[in-house]
Amino acid sequence: MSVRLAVVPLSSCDGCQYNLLNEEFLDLLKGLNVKLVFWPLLGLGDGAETYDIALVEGSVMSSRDLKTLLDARKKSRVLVAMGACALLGGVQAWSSNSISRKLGDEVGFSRPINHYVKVDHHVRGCPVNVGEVIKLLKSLISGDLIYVGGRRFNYVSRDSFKISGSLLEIETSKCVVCGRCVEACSLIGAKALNYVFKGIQTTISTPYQESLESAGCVNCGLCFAYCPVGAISLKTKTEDLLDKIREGFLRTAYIEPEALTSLIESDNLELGQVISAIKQIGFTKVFIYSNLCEARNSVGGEILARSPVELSILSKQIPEYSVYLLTPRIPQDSVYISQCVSWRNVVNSLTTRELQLLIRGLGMEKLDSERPDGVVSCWEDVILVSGLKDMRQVLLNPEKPIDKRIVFEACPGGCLLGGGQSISKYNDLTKVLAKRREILKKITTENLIPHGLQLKASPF
Amino acid sequence: MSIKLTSEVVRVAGESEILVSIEGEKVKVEYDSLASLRSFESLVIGRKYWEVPYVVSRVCGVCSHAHFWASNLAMESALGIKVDEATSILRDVCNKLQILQNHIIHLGFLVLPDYEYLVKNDKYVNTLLKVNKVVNEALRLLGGRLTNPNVYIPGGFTEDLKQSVIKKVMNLLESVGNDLRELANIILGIELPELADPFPEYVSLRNSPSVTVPVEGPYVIDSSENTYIVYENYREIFVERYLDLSMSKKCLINGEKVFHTGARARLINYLRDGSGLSSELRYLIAGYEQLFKKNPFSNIYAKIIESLLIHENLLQTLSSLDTGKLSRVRPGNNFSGGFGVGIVEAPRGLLIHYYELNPEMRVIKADIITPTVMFSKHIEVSSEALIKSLLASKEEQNESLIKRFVEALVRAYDPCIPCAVHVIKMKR
Amino acid sequence: MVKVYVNNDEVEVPQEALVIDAIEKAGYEVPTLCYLKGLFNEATCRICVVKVNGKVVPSCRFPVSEGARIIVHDSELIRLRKINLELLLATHEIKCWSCVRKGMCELLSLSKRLGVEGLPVCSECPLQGRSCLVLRGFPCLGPLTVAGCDAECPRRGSPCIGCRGYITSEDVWVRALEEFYKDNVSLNELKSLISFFWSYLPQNLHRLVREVSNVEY
Repeated sequence: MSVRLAVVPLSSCDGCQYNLLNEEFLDLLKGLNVKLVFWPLLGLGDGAETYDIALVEGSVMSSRDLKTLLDARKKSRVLVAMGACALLGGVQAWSSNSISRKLGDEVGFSRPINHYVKVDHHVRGCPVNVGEVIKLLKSLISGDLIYVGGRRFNYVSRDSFKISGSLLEIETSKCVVCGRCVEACSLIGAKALNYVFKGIQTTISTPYQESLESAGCVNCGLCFAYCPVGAISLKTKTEDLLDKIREGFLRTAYIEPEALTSLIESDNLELGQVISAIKQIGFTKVFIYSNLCEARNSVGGEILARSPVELSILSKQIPEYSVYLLTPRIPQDSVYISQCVSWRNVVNSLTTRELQLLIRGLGMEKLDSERPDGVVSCWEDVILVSGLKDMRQVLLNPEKPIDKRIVFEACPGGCLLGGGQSISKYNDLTKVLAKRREILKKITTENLIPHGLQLKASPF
Repeated sequence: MSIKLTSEVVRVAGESEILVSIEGEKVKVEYDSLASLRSFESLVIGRKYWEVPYVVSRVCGVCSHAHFWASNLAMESALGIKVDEATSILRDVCNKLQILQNHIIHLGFLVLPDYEYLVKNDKYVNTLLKVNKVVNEALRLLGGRLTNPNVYIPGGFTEDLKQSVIKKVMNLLESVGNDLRELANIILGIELPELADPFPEYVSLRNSPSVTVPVEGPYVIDSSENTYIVYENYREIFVERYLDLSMSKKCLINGEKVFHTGARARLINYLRDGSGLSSELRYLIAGYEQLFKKNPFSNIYAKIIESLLIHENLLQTLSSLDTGKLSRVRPGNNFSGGFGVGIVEAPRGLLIHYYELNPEMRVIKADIITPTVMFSKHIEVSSEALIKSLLASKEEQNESLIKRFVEALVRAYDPCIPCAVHVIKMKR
Repeated sequence: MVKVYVNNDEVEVPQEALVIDAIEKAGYEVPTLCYLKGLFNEATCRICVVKVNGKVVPSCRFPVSEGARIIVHDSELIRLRKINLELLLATHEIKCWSCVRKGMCELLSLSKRLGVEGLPVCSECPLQGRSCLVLRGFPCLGPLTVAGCDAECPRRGSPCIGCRGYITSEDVWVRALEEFYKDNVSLNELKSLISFFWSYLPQNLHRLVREVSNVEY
């Protein structure tokens, strides 16, 4: 049994109807077994039909419109207000139209259709997005309809405050108390965040609302990475860096392979597109560089910390070993694009996540494909260990002498899932990690980037 | 014989009605809008200069790029802003893409059922849908949206345009070249009804199909008899009057003559002084020139030929266009009020926007003359001529036949009722 | 391995698997917010609720059992998920214009999926910091317009003119008007933009705008 559809025009610019005149919509009608029984623009129907769904476009401005609308309501089972004219009255609703009334024309105020009839559904926009109309029709016909409506609960304000650290800050007014940050903080060994207060006042913060550092924060940024509602942010903003880039003070970008991998995975890009995007932001040269290179400067017998985070953690948890921090040695006028937020106060740095937002702002169509200006090659004889548990195991294992350099990556899953990485669309971290590992392998082999061996047990 | 018939015309943009009254030898046709007066000229009063294009692009969802462009031009000339050449060319490209899209929709959805020959042709509809899809995508890439564009303001484009986007648009257009030619072959094979144009005066902007950048005032408008230099004197040339006892105001050139505008007019004028396009197309247009001058139904032929012309012109323009860094010019601080006129070629013909701004850059007066308003009288007189010729022929005439022919004629013009903002009054 | 039935499809999963794993194996998908497979499944958000043998449970944490009958979507589940989302939104201060997750907001994607309208266009707009029109002092109705168009106008540099309709929650209006005041956005220009499409603004919101107009600039 086919579904009978009508498109009913009132006073409008016909733009919404014209947007419907395309292959997508017509194909859909065929696919869903929908029959267009009334549409004056295409000369279909003579006004005597009844139909199942009516798409009403345009606002009510005259008695003729009103008659058409009431008629359509009687003849249809479901009435959909399509577009800003039907839903809101359109641009023609502005009250200065009373000037036209003085000219003696029979024009009243333009009114939305819900002033006169019951409206079952609506599609917003001027013009409407055809995709939304199609989605609505599909769900109406299949019966999986979800009624769309405004929020029914008013905002409940709680006692809120800001928790600050040297790099991160938390706005508890935005916190929905999901708990991801508490878990991540505990997993990395810092345990700086927890649930506080009770009842409606429950929120997440440092135990006594003190600064993050005082509570033990190591600035790994995992809370920042995993907060789904944006309650945790970086203190220093991207613009300050962008200003310096635009003024020409910062010209070169050194990007970590892990950072590249993350962007390729999260936004479905190619290496060339990422490089092109970085250049469009304002950099003249882009190099692929991993701070694992700096391992060559260490003495021996030390644990190599991949970032200040590992330095913090190791000095607290395994103080008996000496640690060497792999600070990137890059020129003053360059920016280090990495997966870690903790470099913020050490070198000019940009996190992958900020880069992700900048690339999305540019838009996919703007990305060409460019080659990096070079790869800074490095010493490959290192082993990467992620997670404190694995680290302890390696150190305590008498059969594994430390003849290779050991690099510690604190974040669960290693630097590929670092605190500054871009946000993937999957919520399955094992899947994301597997994908990123594959991409990293591909990049390092194709571009001859030496990269350390991963010592792997469980990812988390 | 005595016939009185009223018929609501479907398959045109908007709602309108044709009233035919035949009393023996006397034939009278009236073409009226059934749409309500949305009165955009009073809606924009008091608004700042940069808001106006967003409002007036909603005059008509079909040709909104043309309204958007015309109002931007008018504002820029009122404020004394000069934009760079690449910006002007890009805006013109957007407008031409919309003209192309409009012609395709009209020939495909609106006119199709009038001609048996087209209805029977399966390939026609499929090819047309394919071309429609491609042109829509090209328009979205450059103009932001199909209707109500959001990519430029008085002064320039709001974001940079990359050369790769231009390349994409060119590829899209190249892919439909053959399809357009196929459509042309089909459409030029339709047998059109015979009709002698009673008032063959036509009007269009000079060099409109070939030159990509309209002169920013004063505008040169060519008609069959004259050339007009138009700027603030547009009201003296395009005069609106109450004629006969019709409820609607109609537009006459120089206050005297009925005229038409649109694809037909543009192609005739192009032959006079067009240049830069392939000799093949020139030859094609020259072959139909007499028909264009004579028969209003030939607007249908004109539309598909113009589509070919625009297609070729766009490819040529885009291949030599360098978007580089599109600049944006802001209005100066010492503005003491002024007026501006923007005239462009919309899909259906000449479109005129006029705005007067006060020193705060707010609109104090607005005037819009749309092509539908300009040729609505021509529709009436042509219909009268058509009916007279039908009655004069030996065949049996009845109401439904007359209705069919007259409606087909109205559709050949492709009127756009939402555009007719203030002149065609609402029928009581 | 145990056998369970997801929407009447039989699936075999390991004994220690969770309901959400079974659902994924059967090819279905449940909306989630706090769930992060591999890191976090404390079921605090209650968005991933499904029915197991008729009982409503959070799928990210509930274990499978032999012969369990799992229903992924039905009208009651949708109703419950919607209420849970609206409750979360009720304690979340909506300030999308300066939020670090604008452009990739999970609350927005959930809202679209569950049919809740209440987040502004700013939540899907990629302009941030100094490229945001509002923070630069230009009138843009993004903070007050219902999201869903992917911010196609601000994305291209044009201000949002509110064609999708206004947000009805007063708290968002209060915060947005405060932000406009802070960034020196001209109230007259804002009111002019509001008059484009929102001539029928409800009384309470209209009053808010009037009150702000009385404050000295």
